[in-house]
Amino acid sequence: MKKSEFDFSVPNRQSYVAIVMILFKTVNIVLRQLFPVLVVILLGGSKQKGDYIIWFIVAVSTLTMVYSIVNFFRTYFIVQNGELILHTGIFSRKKISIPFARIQTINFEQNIIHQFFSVLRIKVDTAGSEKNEFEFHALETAKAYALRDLVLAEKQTSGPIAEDKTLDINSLHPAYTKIMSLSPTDLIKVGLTENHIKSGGLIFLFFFWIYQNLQEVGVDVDEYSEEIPDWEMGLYSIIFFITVLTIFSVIISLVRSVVKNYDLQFLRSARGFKIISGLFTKREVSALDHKIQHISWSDNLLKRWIGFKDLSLNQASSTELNAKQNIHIPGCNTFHINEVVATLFGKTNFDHFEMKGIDKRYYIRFSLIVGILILVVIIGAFFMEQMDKIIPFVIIGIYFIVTRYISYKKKSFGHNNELVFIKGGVFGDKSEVLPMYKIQAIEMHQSPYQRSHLLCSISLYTASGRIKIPYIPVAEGRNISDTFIFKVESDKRKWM
Amino acid sequence: MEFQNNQIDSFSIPKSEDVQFEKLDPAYKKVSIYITTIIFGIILMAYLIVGIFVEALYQFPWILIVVMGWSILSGLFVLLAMKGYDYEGFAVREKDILYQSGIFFRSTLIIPFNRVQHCEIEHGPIDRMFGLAELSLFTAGGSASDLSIPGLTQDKAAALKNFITNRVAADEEE
Repeated sequence: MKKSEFDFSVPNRQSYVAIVMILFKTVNIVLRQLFPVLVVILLGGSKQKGDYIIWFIVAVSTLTMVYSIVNFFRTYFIVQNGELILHTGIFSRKKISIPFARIQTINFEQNIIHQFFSVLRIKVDTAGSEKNEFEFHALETAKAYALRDLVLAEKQTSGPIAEDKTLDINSLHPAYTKIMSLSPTDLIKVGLTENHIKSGGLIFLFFFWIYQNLQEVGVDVDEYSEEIPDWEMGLYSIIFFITVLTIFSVIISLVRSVVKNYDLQFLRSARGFKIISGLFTKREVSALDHKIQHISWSDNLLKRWIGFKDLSLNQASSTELNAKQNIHIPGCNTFHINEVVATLFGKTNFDHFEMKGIDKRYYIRFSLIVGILILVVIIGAFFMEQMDKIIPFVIIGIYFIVTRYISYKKKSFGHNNELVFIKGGVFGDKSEVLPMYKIQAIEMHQSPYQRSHLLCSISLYTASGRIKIPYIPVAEGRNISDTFIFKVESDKRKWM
Repeated sequence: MEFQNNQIDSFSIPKSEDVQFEKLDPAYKKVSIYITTIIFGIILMAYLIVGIFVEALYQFPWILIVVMGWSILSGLFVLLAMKGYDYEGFAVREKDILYQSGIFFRSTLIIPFNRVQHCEIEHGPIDRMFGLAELSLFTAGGSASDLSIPGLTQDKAAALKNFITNRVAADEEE
C-alpha cells in the first residue's frame, strides 16, 4: 500500500482554522438568538428588557466559545492498531477509541469559510452509542482524505465485505462512475416540485416565532396591527392572501432546494455510493453498499407529473431521527432507481411481487374515532351556540378521513425470498425495499380492537429505523414474522 | 459474493405461535406493586408537603378531590401492576429470544441473537432486595428495538446473558 504522506500514528490536531470556525459559529448563534431582539430595537420597542437578554446571550456564548477554543488545544487524535483514538476534554480528559470496523461513514462538509482555507468539516459516525461519535470543525482537506482512505482501506482488508475481484483493493482513490447528476434545468424542476405546503408551513411558523419572540421581549404586536386598517376579509383578500403565500412558498422551496442540491452528483464507486451537492456548503456523503439498510423512493403529485422521484438510501445510524445519515437524491427517474436496486440487490422486477393489501378496518376504525370527535365538537358547539366556529374542525376531520382512506387503498406489501417490498403514500407514491437479512427485530402489536378482529400490526426494525405494516390478519402477521426471522437467522451475510 | 436463493419449505419454518412463554419470577409481581406504591406515596407526600405552605390544599373541595383521585388512580395502577405480570413473559429459542408484554396493547418482540450488539444486567435497589435483575439486549441503530426483560432471578439473568453472549460470539466466528 502506498504510504500516505501524513503520519497518523503521532498525535494530530485539527487545523487552526477550527478556531475561526468556532468564532464563526458563536457569532452565528448570537445573531440567531438576538434576531428578534434586534427587530425590537429596530422597531424602537421597549429596549430595557432586550438589553438584559442581549447580555445574557453574549455572556453564555462567550463562555462556550472560550471553552471550545481551550478544548481545541486539548483535542488530538491518533491512529493505532486499526483504531481511531481521540483524546479530548479540559477538566476531565476523555479517551475515545473507535475500531475502524465500527465506523459507519466518514462524511465531509465544506462551507464558504472551509473552502477559503481549504479545510473540511469531518464527521465520523458509528452505529453504536452517541458518545462514540465525533466531528472536527476543520481538518486540512488532504489530511481528511488521507484519513478516510486509511480507514476505508483498513476496513476493506479486515472486514468480510463482498469484493469485486477485479478491484485493486490498494487503490486509495477508488474510481467513481456517475449514476446521475442534476442539470440546471433539472435542479429548477426539482425545486419547483418540492412540497410547497411544507414551505408554506415554515413561513407560517417563522412569523409565529417572530410574533412570540416580540411578545416575550415586551412588544405588543397587537398594538401595531391595530394601526393597519381593518381588512375586509372578503373573498378578494382571501384569494390575495393565498396567492401571496403560494408564491412565497414556491420561492422559498425553490431557493432551499437549489442551495441544497446545487451541482448534485450521484456517484458509484466499486463498493458504495457517494453524493456531492451544495451551493454554499459543499456536502459529501458516502455510503458503502453493506451499510445501506433499506432504500425507499417517493414522489408527490407534481413530481409524478414530470417523472421525478426522491430516492433515499438509509444507513445504520445511532439516532433514528438523524436524517442526515440518510442519503437523499432528488430528481431520479425510474431508470436510475432500477439501476440502484440492481446494484444493491440484483436485478429485481417488483411487478412480479405478490402484493397484499391491508385490512379495511385500518381506516374504518380511524374514521369512527375522528367522526365521534367531530360529533362531540358539533354537539358542544350547538349547546354553546357557536355553530359558526365548527367549519374548520369538520374540514380537518374530513381531510384526515379521506387521506387515511387513500393511504389504506395504497398500502400493500409483498416479499420474495430476499426482499420485502412495501408500497404506500397518500398524494404521492412511496416504495420501500428492505432485504430480509437486514432486519434486527420484529414486533407484533395488537390493540384490543385489533385483537377482537384477529388483526395485528407488524414492525420491522432495522439499524436504519422502523418499517411498519399495519392492520393485517394475525395469521398473516405470524406467517411473515416467522418467515423473516427464519431468513435472518439462516443468513450468514454481514448486515452492517 | 455467492448468491443463494434456496427454496424454503414453508412447513419447515419454526412457528413463533407454538412457543411456550416463561413467566417472570413471582417476586417481580411484588416488586412492581412496591414500586407503584412508592411512586404514589411520593406523589401524596409531595402534595402534603406543599399543602403545609398552601393552605387551600388542605381545605374542603381540594382535599376531597385529591384524596379520591389519588385512591382511584393508585388502586388502578396497583391493579395494572398485578395484572401486567400475567401478560409478561419471555421465551428463549436456539437462535432468538421472544418477549411478550402488555395487558390491553399486547406486543411480542423477537430478536435474533445474530443481531444483538451487546447485553447488560442491571439491578436497582428494590430489585436487589428481592434478588432480581433486569437483562437488556441492545441492537444497532435506534433504541426502539432494544429489549429489557425485568424480573429475572440474578442467577437466571447471568445464565441467560452468558448463553446469549456465547451465541453472539459463535455467530460472529462463523
